[in-house]
Amino acid sequence: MSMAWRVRTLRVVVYAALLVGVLVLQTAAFSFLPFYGVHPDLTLLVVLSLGFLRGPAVGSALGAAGGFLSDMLTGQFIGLDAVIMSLLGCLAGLVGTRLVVEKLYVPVGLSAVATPLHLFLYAIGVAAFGSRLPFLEGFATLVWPLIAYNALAMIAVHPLCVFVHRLFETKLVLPRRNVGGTELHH
Amino acid sequence: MRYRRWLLALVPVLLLAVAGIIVRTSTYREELTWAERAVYEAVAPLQSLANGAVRSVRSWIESFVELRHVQAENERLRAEIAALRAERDALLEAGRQNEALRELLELTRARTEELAVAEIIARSPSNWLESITINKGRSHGVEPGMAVVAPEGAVGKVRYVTETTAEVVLITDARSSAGGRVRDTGHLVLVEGTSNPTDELLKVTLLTWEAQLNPGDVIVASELSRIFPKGLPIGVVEWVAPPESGLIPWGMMRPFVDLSRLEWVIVVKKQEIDAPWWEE
Repeated sequence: MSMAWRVRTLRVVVYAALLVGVLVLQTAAFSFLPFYGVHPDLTLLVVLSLGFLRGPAVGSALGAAGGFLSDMLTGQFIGLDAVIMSLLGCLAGLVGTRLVVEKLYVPVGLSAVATPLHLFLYAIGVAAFGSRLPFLEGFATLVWPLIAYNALAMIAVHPLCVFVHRLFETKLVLPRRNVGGTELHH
Repeated sequence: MRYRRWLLALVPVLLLAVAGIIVRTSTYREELTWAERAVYEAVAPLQSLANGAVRSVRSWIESFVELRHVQAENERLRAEIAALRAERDALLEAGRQNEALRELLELTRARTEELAVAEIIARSPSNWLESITINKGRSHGVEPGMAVVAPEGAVGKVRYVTETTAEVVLITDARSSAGGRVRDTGHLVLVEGTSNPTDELLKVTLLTWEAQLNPGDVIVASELSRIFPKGLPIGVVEWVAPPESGLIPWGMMRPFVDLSRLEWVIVVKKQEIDAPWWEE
């Protein structure tokens, strides 16, 4: 088993643990610290942040996994959030490949755009599958506090994702680097 | 290149499969799948742990704020308060929990066959859907469809159960509706959730044309309610829509239970309760 393969496997495990960890925090910790009745969507923020850093393919995959986990804990419309978060992860990845600005305001701005999109697409999806949500009244009252709370949470989430991203980026480059004409073997 | 073509061909198949799963899970199901049960059971201990930590921090902050107020008034006692602070923090949390539990215990004493006290360990990941996860499941006698209440009134209905947890849809959720009646006049009403966590109000609609709905009317569960035991308080009407806005009188009511700060609930295992506490 090569070092690069092992690091990639470890990265998948860490990403999975990160998604489960933020979902636990979202449902069991932050849901008890509401701001105007809403709690931050930490899973969405991790998907956006890592999608922004790693590109559309990883963003989509993480979105699908995070959304699916979230769906499983909701117990209804399983797969809907997976599809929506996958799209948003892909979108974040596309933004990341076009913007080289390494400033915190970019992912924060991204969360401000993705939050209403997520709410809107979920309500549309639920309506498309035959259920109803008080879309107009709910959207108007939910969206502003949620944009603010998510943007605030992104200030903490993005540096964490950057840390995790850089951790593995370094480990993937090192093993193949030639030092004094000799290839390193681990 | 070939791999990518295969992947692209797989996308519509996957989307169709996902659409099928969404349709299958969009309506009420009697049972969760083994995968969903596994996720619930695996995540529940972590949620319980995270929830406990948050409660401790919140309690610490609350007691800290309270202590600061006391210190301002009692400057000369500062040294003594500092020495007692650590002990007091722990006692405050224990006392607060003790008070809530004693209240619940009063209700559940000699009624363990009818009621089960449960702790809320998590809430729905979605801001659209209002549900909670409790730490009691099938092994404690909890089944789907059972009413969930608090000492002040109605909370919601059990939707799914695993061995050790249960998901409860709150009365404020848009998927939730219950039969009620105006306590003083006896007129039947329909109480529906709005899924609006910012104000947590319920929509109340009179089921008779001639009657009136007034702000301050207390709504209780009716004999026709298939969820809540009859007479259980649900909430109080806050405002009524002007008559010209529709033919049937309707308004918005506030539930008696503060659902955003709720920590403990009672699962009603039998709909017929001997000597209900809300009638005492």
